[in-house]
Parts: sequence; C-alpha cells; structure tokens
Amino acid sequence: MTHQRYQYLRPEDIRRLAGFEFAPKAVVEGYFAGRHVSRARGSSVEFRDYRQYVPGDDLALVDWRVYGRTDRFYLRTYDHETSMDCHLFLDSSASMGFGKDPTKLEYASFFTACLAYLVIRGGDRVSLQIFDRKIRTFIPPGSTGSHLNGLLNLLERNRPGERTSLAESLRSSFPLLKRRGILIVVSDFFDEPAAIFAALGPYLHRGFKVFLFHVLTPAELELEEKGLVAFRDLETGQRIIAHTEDVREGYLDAMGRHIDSLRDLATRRNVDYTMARTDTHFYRLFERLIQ
Amino acid sequence: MSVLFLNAILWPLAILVALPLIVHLFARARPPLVDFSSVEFIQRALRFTQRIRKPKDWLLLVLRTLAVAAMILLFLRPVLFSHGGGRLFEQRNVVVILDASASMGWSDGSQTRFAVACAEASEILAGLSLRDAADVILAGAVPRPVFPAMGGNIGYLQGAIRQARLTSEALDPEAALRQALRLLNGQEGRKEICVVSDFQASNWRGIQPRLPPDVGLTCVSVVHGEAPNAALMRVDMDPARPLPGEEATLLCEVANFSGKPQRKTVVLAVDSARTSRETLIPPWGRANVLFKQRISSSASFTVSVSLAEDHFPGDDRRWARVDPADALRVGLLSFGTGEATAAVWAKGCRALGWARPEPLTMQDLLNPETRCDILMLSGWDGTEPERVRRFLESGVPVVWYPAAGMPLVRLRSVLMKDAPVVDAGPKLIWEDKPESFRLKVTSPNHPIFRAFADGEYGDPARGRVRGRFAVTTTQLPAGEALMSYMDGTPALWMCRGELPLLLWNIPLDEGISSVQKQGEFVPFLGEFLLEVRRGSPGSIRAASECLPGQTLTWRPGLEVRTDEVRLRGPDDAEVPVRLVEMAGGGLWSDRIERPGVYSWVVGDRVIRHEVVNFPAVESDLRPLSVSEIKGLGALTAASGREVREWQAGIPLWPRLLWIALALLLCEGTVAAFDVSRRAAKARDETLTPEGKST
Repeated sequence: MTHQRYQYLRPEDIRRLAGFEFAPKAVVEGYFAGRHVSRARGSSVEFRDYRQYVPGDDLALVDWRVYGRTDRFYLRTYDHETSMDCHLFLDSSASMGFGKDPTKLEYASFFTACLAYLVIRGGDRVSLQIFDRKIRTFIPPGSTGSHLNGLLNLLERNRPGERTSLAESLRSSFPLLKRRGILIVVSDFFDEPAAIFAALGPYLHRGFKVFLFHVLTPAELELEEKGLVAFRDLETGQRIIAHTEDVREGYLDAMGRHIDSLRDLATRRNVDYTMARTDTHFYRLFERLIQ
Repeated sequence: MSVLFLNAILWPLAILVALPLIVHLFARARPPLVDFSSVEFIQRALRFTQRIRKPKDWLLLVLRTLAVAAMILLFLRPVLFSHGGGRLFEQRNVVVILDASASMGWSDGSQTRFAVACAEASEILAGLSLRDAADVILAGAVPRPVFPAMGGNIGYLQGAIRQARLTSEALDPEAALRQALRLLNGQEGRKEICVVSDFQASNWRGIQPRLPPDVGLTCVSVVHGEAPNAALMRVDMDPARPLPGEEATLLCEVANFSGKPQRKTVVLAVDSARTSRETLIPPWGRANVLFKQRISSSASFTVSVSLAEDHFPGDDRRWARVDPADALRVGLLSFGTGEATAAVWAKGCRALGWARPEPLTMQDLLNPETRCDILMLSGWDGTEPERVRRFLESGVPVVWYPAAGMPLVRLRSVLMKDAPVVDAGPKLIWEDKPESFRLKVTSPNHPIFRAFADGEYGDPARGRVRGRFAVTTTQLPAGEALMSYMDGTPALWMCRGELPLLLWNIPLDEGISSVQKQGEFVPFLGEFLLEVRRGSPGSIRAASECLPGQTLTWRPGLEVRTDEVRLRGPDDAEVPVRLVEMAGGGLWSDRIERPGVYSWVVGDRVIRHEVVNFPAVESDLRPLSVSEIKGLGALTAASGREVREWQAGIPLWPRLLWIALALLLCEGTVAAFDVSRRAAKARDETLTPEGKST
C-alpha cells in the first residue's frame, strides 16, 4: 500500500496507527471470507451447532460418531467468517466549520481518514457519505488502496456546506447500503435527537452496529465569556444579541439536556455514543471504538 | 393644588431625562459580531433568561430615568401649593386668632394647649414674607388685637405671642371673628383668618361665621386626645340673702367631664372653718353637695369651695359672697280693692320685725334698680304682665292677690313670655257667703306649715272668710294648693315651674275676713315669707358673681373719697387694676383676669368683697368634631406648619433630593445584586471546572 502525503492522514498518524486493529464486535454479512463473524453458516474451524439431517444436505457434514451412538443423522455446523463493511457518515454542514485549529470538520476529517485507513488495512471494506442537509457525496464500499486514495482526496476537497439535517441524510442513505455492517456517524448532531434515532431505526433493525461520534468544540460546550455580543448562526445566518453572562447558564443547561438526550437514547437503542471534544486528540476515540 | 417652578428657565434641562434611554439603546445597538455553530441553544437560554432579565433591565432603566428626572426637577426648584395657594407674589393679609380662653390651660402633663397654640401661631406667622401684613388677636371674653391695624412687623407679633398669657376668660368666638374682619377690611391682596384653638364645643357649637367671599378661614386645632376633667360648676346660697340667725343651704354642683365615674371630696372653707363632703360623680354627669351654714350676723362674708386639683386646676375652686340681709325686703303693690289686703300684709311684716315692707308703684317695677326679696301684689288685674315677669325671672317670688272681674286667662299669661293680653273668656268672679267660708291646710308637709305641725303655734287655717274668688284648680296654672277652702276652692296656690308665682285667694279686708285677727296669722305670714323664697331656682342663684374679663364696679357713698379707694386681688395682693371715675360717682375697674376674691379697700379698711369665678362654660373640654369644624366653612389643618405650607408653598427640593438619592440607591442595589449573582456563579464554576456537559 503506497501513501501520498495527505492532509488528514499524515505519516506520523500512520506510524501511530500501526499498533491499532479495527475489529469491532459486530455480526456482519459479506461476500468474502474474512475475520468477522457472519450470521451465515459455512465452512470454518469454529463449531457452531448440531442439526438434524434433511434430504439434500451434504453427506460430508454428517457426524458419523453421533450416528453410531444414537442411530440418527445429525449434521455439524460451523460459523462462517466474512469480511466487514464499514460505512462512514461525515457531517459537513456549515456548523461543522466552527472552531479554530482545528475546526470541527477538520477534526472529524482526521478521524474519518484514519478510520478508513485502519479498515482497509484490516482487509475490510469502507464507504463514505458526506452530507449536510442531504447526501452530498457517496463513495461505495471498497477495500483497495486506490479506494483509500479516493476517500482521502474527497476529504481534502470537502468544505462546510449548508445546514444540518442528519435524520434526512440517514433516511436517504439507507437504500444505498447493500450489506449490513458498521455504521459510524461523525457529526455535531445539531438536529432533534428523537428524529436522528428514528432515522437510525431501520439500520438497527437490519443489524447494523452503530457508533455515534459527537464532535463539539470547548467553546460550544462552555460558551466563552464575551460580554454583550451578536451571535451569528453559521447555518442560518440568524443573529441574536445576548450577554454571554446572562445566557450562559441557560445555554449550558440546554446543551447538557441535548447531550443527555442523545446519550440516553443511544443507551436504550444499544448504540455506542462518544463525545468528541476537539481539544482532545482523536486517537482517544479509537480506544472507544477498537476494543 | 398647583406647582410653581422658581428656576423655570432651566426647563430645557428636562431633555436630559431621555439620557438613560439613549444610553440604554445605544449600548445595545452595536455589540461585536461572533459566528457561532448554532444559536438554537442560545435562543432557548435567552427565552428563559429574558423572563428574568428583561424586567430587571426595564427596572434599572426606569430607576435611572426617574433619578435623572428627580435631579433635573431639583434644579428647577418646584414649590407645591395646595388649598388655593399658588399666588406666590401676591400680598397676604393674615389675622391669627389665638384662643387664650381658660380651656386652653388644660395640660397633658408636659405643656398646656395654650403653649402648643402659641407655637402653632408663631409657625403660621413664620411663613409670611416682608411684603405681607398680619395681626394677632388674643381671643377671650373680648378680643385683644396686638396691633390696632394690620402691620408688617412679624417679629414683633411673634414676640407678642411669646409674651402672651393665658386668661381665665370664656371665649367669645363671634367677637374675635368680627374683630378679625374689621382688621382685614380695606386691605389689598389675599385675606386670611387663621384660628388656633381647642375648638371647645361649648363655645363653638352653633357659631356660623359670616365671612365675605374673599376672606379665607383656616382652623388649626391643638387638641390631641381626650381631656378628662372634674369641675365645680356652681356654688349657690339658698336663700340668696339669708337673714341673721337663719340656717342657709350652700349648694355646690360638681360635674364630671369624663367617661369614668369620679369620686371627689368637696371642701368648704368659711373663714378658718373647713368642712368636707365626698361625692361620686357619674360619667358625664353632675352631683350636688349640700352644706348647711348658720348665718351669725348681717355682715357679708365669702366662702370658698374647692376640689383636689387635676390637669385643669382652674375650675377646681369657686368662691361665693354671702350677703345676709338685715331685713327681708317685701315689695308691696296694691290696686283698688286690694289695698286693704296689702295694708294687712304690711302690718304683718312690720309686726315680724325682720321683714321690711316697701310700697312700690307700677313705675318702680320698670326701674332696674328696684330690689326686693319678695314682691306682693294685691288687687292687680294682670295688665302689663312683663313688668312682673322680670321679677319672676330674676328669682324674686311674687305673691298675687288678683282683682275681681279680670279675665281668668291672665292668671296664666303672666307666666308666659310674650303672651298676648287677652280680655276675652271667663272672668274671675267674686263670691260672697254670709255664713262664711272655712279654710284648711291641704299640704301639711310643706315647710310653710312645719312650725305648726305640733300645734304649739296654733292652726294657721283658723279664721273665717265671707268672700273669696270663685275659682277652680282647672282654671289656674298647674300647681299645688297649699291651703284651700272646705269646698276645695284653692286659697293659697303655688304654681309649678321655674317661675315662683303664688296666688293668694284669702281676702284680709276688715269685715270680710277674720283670718288676720287670729293670733296665728303673724307667725303664719312669717313662715310663709321665709319659706316661699327658698327652693325656687332664683333664690339659689349666687347673689353677685363676676367672670374673668368683666369689670368690677362699686358705687361708694358720698362719705368715701374715690382717690383713696383701692382694689385688692386674691391673696391680698395689689392687683394692677385701673380705677376710673364714672359719671354717677361710681368706680369701675379694668377687666379682671384672675378668679378669686377681690376687695374694695379704703385705707386699710375692707369695704366690700367681690367674687370672680371661673367661667363654667370653659370646664367642658370636649372639642368640636372635624366635620363640625369644617361646617364652620373652614379648612382644617393639623398644625401651623401645614397652614404655612398651604399658603407659602412647600419647597419640594429636599424631598426631590431624597427621592433622587433613594432611586440611585435602589439602582445600585439592583445592579449590585446582579453583579453578586454573577460572581457567585463564576465561583461555582471555578469549583467544577469540567462543566456540566463533559
């Protein structure tokens, strides 16, 4: 695998990622035999179960020792190991352009790029969807070096777009994913939590393992003291004049309730939720993801 | 109510009121612009905090605006006028009527009402400017203005108030108001009368001041709280002029002007002898205390009656002069057929020795100098009844032997004031009876017959009469028959009521009656004359009594040189009184100020005592109600300062200064509260640096 110098996948990142292996505990379905457990029974060394013989079954699978003891035909079944599809959802709405060194989008792009590298290095396939109000770009799953190059180039060209509509984007992208696998959403989640999890419902029902990475800057989490200022919304352009000292308490309450709501819904739906502060290194996120 | 601005030229400063609003709006208009990922959460927070924050912002804005407005008004120097004020540059003419009557001497333990009134009056005068004119009337029985006409020397008037003394006089409110109007008459500018008084109901009730429309009346009451009082109201002698050797009754009336019963000891002092009686006076009631006093000689003397002193000591002592008569003066007036009876009466009086018959004419009845203890009319037909009624009303008992043929209605009309002389109707008929009529005593318990009760002095009804007036009890005024004939015809009829009138139906003519020939007649006449003057309201009235504020007069005989006459006041102190020789050769004094016993002295010899008593009308200290004072057509003020503020205006700058300071203090408090709240929040966040979201 050859690597160019990409903005979001630097040599030092590749060196640090050498010790990581992307192997989330998820049951997947795949065309190629791989390292990941599939729901499909197949041929492998991992014994799974016995079942009664029915006409048409391969006689080679009959356990003759059991037949000798019980005078009945039973077949031995094994788990089928398969390759994994990892679907990356990167929020590129205007609000992701907030923050300095890095912006939320830059931070998310670093994480996405490294994650794609790890997945492809593990022989699995990775797809990328860049969305804001709708899906802006979709790169289907792939596991080759050129596929990775394409992803990295796309990330570098990517710029903050319009306002966020995560729920709408999730609903739109569901038909595009042919196989179940890992769904990783990297966003600031400025949408209604209930709508987001309603949109995630079909994925979960189909058996996707979902990871949510909530990217926020310290300025958003703490609302810096700036006195009387006019806040301009990066997505809508709306202006609000407020004194940060006056609204800070209420803002923190509202933000806390939003995060709590996301975390609570994630726990209930067996979804993995992680807060990603841009002032912490994105390597910390892999500790959460790769166990 | 109106407001005048002394620095109205500074009105353009009022535009500065908008300064806080401008600063407020300007400060909010240009905040720095900050890009933020999503203002949705800020918007939510703002919705919550604005519910708290916004009223506080408005409150601060209002407080700052009001503070600036108060400071601007401060420099404009507003003056508030109320109750018709507002004409600051108009000349004022103010007459202050200062009540100096006796009731103002009531003390609440610290100061008298008069002291309070002086302070209030001085306060009213202090509000006058150099161009104003004023005068002060010290009101008592007579009004005493300080200046004869309105003057501008306010300082002198205030000095006169400081030196003013309380009098023991009764107040004459109408005289004071008349005097005030006289002073204000012809003055230019505003005319005001300010009355500073206790507005004693007994003096002021019923007063209707008729003031011209351009004269304002303001009343300042100095009464605060109740004023319980007990007073000696009257000291009377019964009879008023006792005879030597006679036992007279001294009647003392004590009043309780409070809502609680009071037990009081009444002390009578005659020369060095003292006698006391205790009495319980009901709330708002009166009680009578009687003292028996034997008259030893015909020399006049004074008695003193006193109560224990209370908060209002002036009315706790009274004096009475007792003038024993050397003989009973019986005024005799006879007409036509009544001359024989009158002659018998005169003869009987002379036989008694201590009764002196004094023949009178109808002309004498008109003379106010005519004096008698009893008036006996014989043969009078009731014409010109007002001449006789004057005696009845002054308490002199009248014994009337009527004339035959006079209309019966005149028997009643003499008792009625302004009664028309009617000659119609039945007439008094004389009836003869050859076998004679016999008399009987019908009221044996009456004091007249007390001496005859045991029979020692015989039967007063002995004797026969062959003629009489045929009259029935129904034809006579309401009364009681003391003696009557056997058939019930009244012979001696005492009329009931306030006027002491007795009808005599016993002819004493020679040949008609044998009553006068009986040995019992003279004792009966004596008892009749002694007792008939007792008990009637007139007889118990003090013979001579003067009130403070009045003058004492004495007409000495020719043997006295008037330049040697002096008048000594109470405690034998020479009182500063002025003696003026009158046209008739008499003397009178200046107005008397203090109650007590005064003596006319020639050399070292006391010629005559005069008694000056506290005016009883001043003892009831209950004031008029506020509505009654308003009923006088006056404004009512709580104090002189209030009157001064009404008329001279209230300078509002001190209040505005306080208001501005208070507003700034409030503004500071509200702002400081906000700062402290933020500081506390910052401190809390320092303790939990991770923040809630992480």
